[in-house]
Amino acid sequence: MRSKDGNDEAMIKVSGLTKSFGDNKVLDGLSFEVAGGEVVAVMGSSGTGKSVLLLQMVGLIVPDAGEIEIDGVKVTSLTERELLGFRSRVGYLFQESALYDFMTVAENLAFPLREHTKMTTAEIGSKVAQFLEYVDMPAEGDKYPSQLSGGMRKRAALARAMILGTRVLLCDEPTSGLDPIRSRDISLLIRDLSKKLGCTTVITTHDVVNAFRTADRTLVLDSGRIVAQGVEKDLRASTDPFVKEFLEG
Amino acid sequence: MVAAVAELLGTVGRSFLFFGEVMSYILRGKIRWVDVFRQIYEQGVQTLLIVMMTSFASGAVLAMQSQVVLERFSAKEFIAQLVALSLVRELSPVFTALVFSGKAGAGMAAELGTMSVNNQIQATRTLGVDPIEFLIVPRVLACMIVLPILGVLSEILGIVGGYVIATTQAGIPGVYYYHQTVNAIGYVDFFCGFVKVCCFAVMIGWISCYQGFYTSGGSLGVGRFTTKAVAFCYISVLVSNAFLTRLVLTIWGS
Ligand SMILES: Nc1ncnc2c1ncn2[C@@H]1O[C@H](COP(=O)(O)OP(=O)(O)O)[C@@H](O)[C@H]1O
Ligand SMILES: [Mg+2]
Repeated sequence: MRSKDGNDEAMIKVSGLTKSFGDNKVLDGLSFEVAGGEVVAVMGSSGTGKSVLLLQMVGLIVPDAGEIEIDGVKVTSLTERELLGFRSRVGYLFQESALYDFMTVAENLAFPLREHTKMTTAEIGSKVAQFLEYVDMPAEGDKYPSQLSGGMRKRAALARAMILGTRVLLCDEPTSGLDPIRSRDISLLIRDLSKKLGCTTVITTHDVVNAFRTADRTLVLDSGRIVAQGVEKDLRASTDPFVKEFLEG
Repeated sequence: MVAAVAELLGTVGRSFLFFGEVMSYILRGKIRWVDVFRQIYEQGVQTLLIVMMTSFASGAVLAMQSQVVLERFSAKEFIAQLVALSLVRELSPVFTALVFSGKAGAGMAAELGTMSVNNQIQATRTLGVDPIEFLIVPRVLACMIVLPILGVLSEILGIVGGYVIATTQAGIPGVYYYHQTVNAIGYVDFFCGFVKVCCFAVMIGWISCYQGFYTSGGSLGVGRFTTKAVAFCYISVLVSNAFLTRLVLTIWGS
């Protein structure tokens, strides 16, 4: 068991994370923590390394330096085989949704259950129906992803990411490519489901309005570091030139 | 120049690692048979008709040309042997492999490539599933099952094509043609072709899946990597065929 120090409740701990691709230094000693059950947005302009950050959190990119600890597991020191088991406990929503296009929506949702649980077909069916209900597309189960709108694909992918009862949810730019109304809907849905299912959630975004709408706390990422953080009021009051410019658009 | 060579060596090395990984799954029996059968069905449906048509036509052409040539030596009655042996030893394995590369190989590369650029392969990993085991092994294995079957089918259809020409154009009696064919094809001839087609199957599965799996660069990339997959399949089938022919002749004699 871990010692009872002050950080014990943190579900996600990232410290000193550094990553370069060749000469391109993307993350430069990035550190932050997320408490259990908290919803946090990491905000930054395109190409600042938001995707790279999330991919490192599930071991799909290996950092040059720094540590990541999620739910008591040191991600950075897992082997490839251990990573597979670990990843099934973390939900990941890709920017492109990344549903399998050779499966129906219901089959997509059933896939992780079939892979990682011993549930019967009937149990899987009712769990899938429940999650389709959660994301408000109860009648869409038999459709293929190509038959859905972008917003629906996002919601279906969200359901697939959460269906294993994951405690940690990572969403990469959930609103990108969606119109303002769909963006608002998916943002609120991520927030509601995270709270309802007790997930600790990190979303990345460059969408200021929806970051504040979704998150309990927003971190601003610039030049590979967190330059400011807090609720909307704190950030609006920030004197950091990048934060000011970013928020004022 | 140095960089280009280094990159080529890197690619070759990576593709061998990829192949080793795929084979280790197959040898350890980590095989998802449901997915294998789905792939067999898809690859079969994609290629069956076109292989049958091209084989029939090739057999027919072979018989027409043999008739012309053999009539010069007054040896018309050997059409059946010439057609059968050419098909079984050489033409069917190579033709089938080329047609299969262009259809099923390109299909696999494009499908996997699209999955790769849409992050479906990364998503597989985030779902705690190994994409090699889930997406690649079934395709490679299906290839290794479908292509040899298609090869044999192609031999049969080619012989039928030859039969139609020989009996209608060259005036050779059907029963005679049939017996000549059956007597001509020895075990050695059959296995010479069969070994080839099995080797081609492994190469096509490997190359197409490798190119698809490592596709990057959006929809342009899918086009580029798919074309590359087909080109590499053609080259490796034709080049390795020369070596395989030499090998087979050395082992089994002529
Ligand atoms: N696999 C990779 N190889 C090389 N460079 C990469 C790779 N992935 C991302 N990058 C670079 O890292 C930077 C951050 O990318 P990314 O995390 O995708 O940005 P975003 O914040 O828009 O998600 C970009 O400059 C990108 O070119
Ligand atoms: Mg990104």
